Amino acid sequence: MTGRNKSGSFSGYLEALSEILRDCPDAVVLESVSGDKNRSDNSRRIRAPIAEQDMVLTASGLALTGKRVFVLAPDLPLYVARGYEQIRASVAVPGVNVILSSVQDGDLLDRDGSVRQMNEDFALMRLLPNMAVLAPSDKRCAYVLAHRLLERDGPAYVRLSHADVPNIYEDDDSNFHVGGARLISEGDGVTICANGVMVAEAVKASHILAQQGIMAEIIDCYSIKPFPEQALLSSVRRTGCCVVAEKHADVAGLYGAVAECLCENYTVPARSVAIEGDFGQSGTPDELQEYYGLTHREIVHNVVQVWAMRRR
Amino acid sequence: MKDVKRDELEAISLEVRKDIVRMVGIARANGPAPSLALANLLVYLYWEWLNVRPAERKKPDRDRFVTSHWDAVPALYACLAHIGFFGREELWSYRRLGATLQGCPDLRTPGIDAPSGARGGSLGIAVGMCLALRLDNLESRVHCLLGEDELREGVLWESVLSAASSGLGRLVAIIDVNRGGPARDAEAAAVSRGFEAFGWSVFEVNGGDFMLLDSVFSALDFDDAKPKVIIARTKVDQELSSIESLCDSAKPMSDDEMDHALSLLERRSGSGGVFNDWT
Repeated sequence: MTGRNKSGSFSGYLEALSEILRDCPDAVVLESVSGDKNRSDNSRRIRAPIAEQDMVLTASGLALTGKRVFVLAPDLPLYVARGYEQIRASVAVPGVNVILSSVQDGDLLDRDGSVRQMNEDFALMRLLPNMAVLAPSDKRCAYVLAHRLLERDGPAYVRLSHADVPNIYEDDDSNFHVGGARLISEGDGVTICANGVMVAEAVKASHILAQQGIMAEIIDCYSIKPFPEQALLSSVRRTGCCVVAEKHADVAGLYGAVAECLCENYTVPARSVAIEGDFGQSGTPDELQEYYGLTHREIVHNVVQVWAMRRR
Repeated sequence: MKDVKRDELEAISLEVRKDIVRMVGIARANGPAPSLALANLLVYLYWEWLNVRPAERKKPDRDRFVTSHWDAVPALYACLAHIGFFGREELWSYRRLGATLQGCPDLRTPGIDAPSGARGGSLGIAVGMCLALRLDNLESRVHCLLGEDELREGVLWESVLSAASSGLGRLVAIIDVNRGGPARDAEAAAVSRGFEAFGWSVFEVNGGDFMLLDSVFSALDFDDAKPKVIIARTKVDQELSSIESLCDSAKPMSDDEMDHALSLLERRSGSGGVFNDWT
């Protein structure tokens, strides 16, 4: 744990993309730009005015002609929904090398309210065969995963964040893989699976739980699909209970992946800290996190409940 | 184009059309009329225009052809088979489980450069291909065949705009207009004005006439940065259109109707009688 510099996963991802553009001649970044800027597409960093579905199709065409395409659309939180048919038919079905990314937070977006707040992206992308789904938890994790995606064939979706979270990993840490997970703290009381901005909340929760004598084992589930089943199973076999924390709807995201894995292999009581059956609304990022219960207190509350029912 | 050449293409197209009737009949798929109407256009493209060769089907500087015009798929497959991308026997398992020839174009089929994507989606894929080819300094041209129904899809117009603003002069969209009538004509005219307003060069042609096709295609100026659209009017010939289910997109042909259609086509190639060697 370092926690020195603060900066979101988006900045780490951008840093990796500029290195990838420099080092890999096949790489292309397709970036949506808002406003009346002109299209610039004579370099491998193609900037295009917003048109979500065309952007996805263009990425597919580039990939079908041998490029490795990174779609960067930080201002379009909803394009995975708007362009879903295009993503499905032109990216996931042919299994081309298109890496989609989006940013689902930020001060502007959070004030925009429900229409622009996308809490279903993990679910939509998880449904598509061939599609990997990643949610890096900090700058370093995002940086390394971008490089890993370059080495891997097939489409992927990466959810990034502008949130100013403390760094979790050291700057020279490279132990991140598509389909991997990281043990952030060890414990035998409860397994907490978290990703993205919720990893930091899980860490805070673990300090409070430790005072109550429950030692939490925190797994950073940055790879939702492929899902790191073994990491989860070896942990719940010791702890006997599980809480999942994600900034997402409580259906079909990380909690869905965890629940499916537990049902098939080793059932233990599990609870979810997520957005329950509701759309968003305008507010500051902090206010919204508080309102929708995406907090360390809510994690503690749920841990206490599952811990009481834990499998022994 | 010389008359000899035209006669040669007519003969190829006749064989292609017979195979369209056979494959659609065997697959119990719906009416092959739009494919029959498009046969001459596709034969012109594959035999005279496109720089693609079955022996070098991954060559980076080949021309590309993409389509989301599903009605045209049997014609496309029959052409690809006749030009040698795969054996003609594949045509007889069109639309079956595990077949090389899926109902919609799929990357598993030799000669197919892009999945069909969703309706109206192939133009955006063509735009991406043009951008990639331009980054690689290749002179390949990208062709995108669209059905007139697809013009009502909003996503298509996103791509029309982005192709023009990117100056993709090597993009050639071909719109198949196979229905007549005053309302349709007015719509086609509006579409043509729409493309022009978005900065495309618009051409119109009778898609069944090899001589006219040749004069339109060979006059395309690829040094001009405007993307091109060719509005091709196609028509099933009178005689075949008398067979009812041939033109019915909701009803498969019966065996008798298939035989009848084949015998009409056979009579033209001079051999007479029903040609039945595919059974």
